Amino acid sequence: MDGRAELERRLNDYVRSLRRYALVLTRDTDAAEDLVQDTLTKAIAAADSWQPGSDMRVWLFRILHNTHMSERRRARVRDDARLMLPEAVDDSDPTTRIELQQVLDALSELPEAQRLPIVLVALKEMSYAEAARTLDVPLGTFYSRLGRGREALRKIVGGMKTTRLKLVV
Amino acid sequence: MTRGATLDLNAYLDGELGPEESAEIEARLETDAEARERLETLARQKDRLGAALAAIADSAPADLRTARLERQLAGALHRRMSPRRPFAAAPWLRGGGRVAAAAALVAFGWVAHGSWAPQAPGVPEYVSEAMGAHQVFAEDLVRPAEFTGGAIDTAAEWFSSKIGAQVNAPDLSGFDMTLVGARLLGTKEGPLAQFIYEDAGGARYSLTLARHPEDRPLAPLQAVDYPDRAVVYWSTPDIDFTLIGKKDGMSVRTMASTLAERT
Repeated sequence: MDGRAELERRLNDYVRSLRRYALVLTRDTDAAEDLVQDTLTKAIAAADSWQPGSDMRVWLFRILHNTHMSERRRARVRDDARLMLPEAVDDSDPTTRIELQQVLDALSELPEAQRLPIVLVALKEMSYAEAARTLDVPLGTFYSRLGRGREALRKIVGGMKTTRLKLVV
Repeated sequence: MTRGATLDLNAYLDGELGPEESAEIEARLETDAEARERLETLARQKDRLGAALAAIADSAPADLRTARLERQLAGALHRRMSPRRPFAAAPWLRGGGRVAAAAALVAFGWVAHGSWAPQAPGVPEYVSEAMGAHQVFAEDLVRPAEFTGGAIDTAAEWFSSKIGAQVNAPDLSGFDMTLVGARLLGTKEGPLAQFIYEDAGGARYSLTLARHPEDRPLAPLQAVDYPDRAVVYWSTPDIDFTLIGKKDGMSVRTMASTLAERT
């Protein structure tokens, strides 16, 4: 495979990851696609500042994250809006589908500071250091937010199961 | 379970711990049922979340504008990865190599010979390494070559064993070129054999040979235009060749073409 084809394949993977992250940030499929496109447009304009050999994925995630944050500051969107993710699509198994939706619902309960570390690590096996750089927080802060967030997520999912069980009974 | 222990389990699950720390966690897991259960819950939660996020993004229809921007970015980054700074990282240039001229590298398509392919947007790494070696070693008349005279034949055997393919200094006397030296260089692409020639006017030329990696395509004969120097490179299934010389001296292209026919 030549260099250009290999680069296109990698970028295609990154864009899929960016779209997932954008969905979590924007809570809307159209807004997420807009954010991905803004990110790509900025990346094209800033391509000369990218250092060959450095991590392209972290570079793109940082652009996306910063673009989102500055747009949100401009729009003065309140951070307490609930995460409205589209429904997970997996019609192969209804039980799996419910479970996947459940974990997304639980994610929406978390504050953004905890939600984003969890999502970045779950998305594409990003390392802690890469994810911390993306969010522009110290590694220790990232680490503790991830731990707190996952613990909270576990409790929420546990609570959902209990509720569902009660309803069935 | 303490909060610190939970954080360690997270780091263990995400592959962030070193071997010693991982071994500590694994020893604890053997005896601590609560920790095992916690780890299983964390792993299941991470898997489900990954699957849920994958499902929502993959269900979105392909957006044509996004795809177009993606291709544009690939083009911009590919150009960025092209050899505008081709030998800044070459080991022998660190700490003083004068590489400013490299920034002015202009690749051009050379179609004077029917069998020559159009110039690719970037040159292979071995060509950049060859250019760095040429500037530092071949053009410096004071610095002695590693091997000279009769020692070059012995050197070629040693080069062959290091490179893993038969290499030797081709006879360019038909072009009135004299073999004046040879050396073996270590580069990040692997060992590189450099043979240095001199023309009747004393201008220096270098031919570098490197092992052709099996997983890379064969480069047809191609020319690139570095400032003040002509560079031609090509590949055989075993060896990648680069011939470098002055633009106004003996035609590097003609020599390379003859050599490529021989190889």
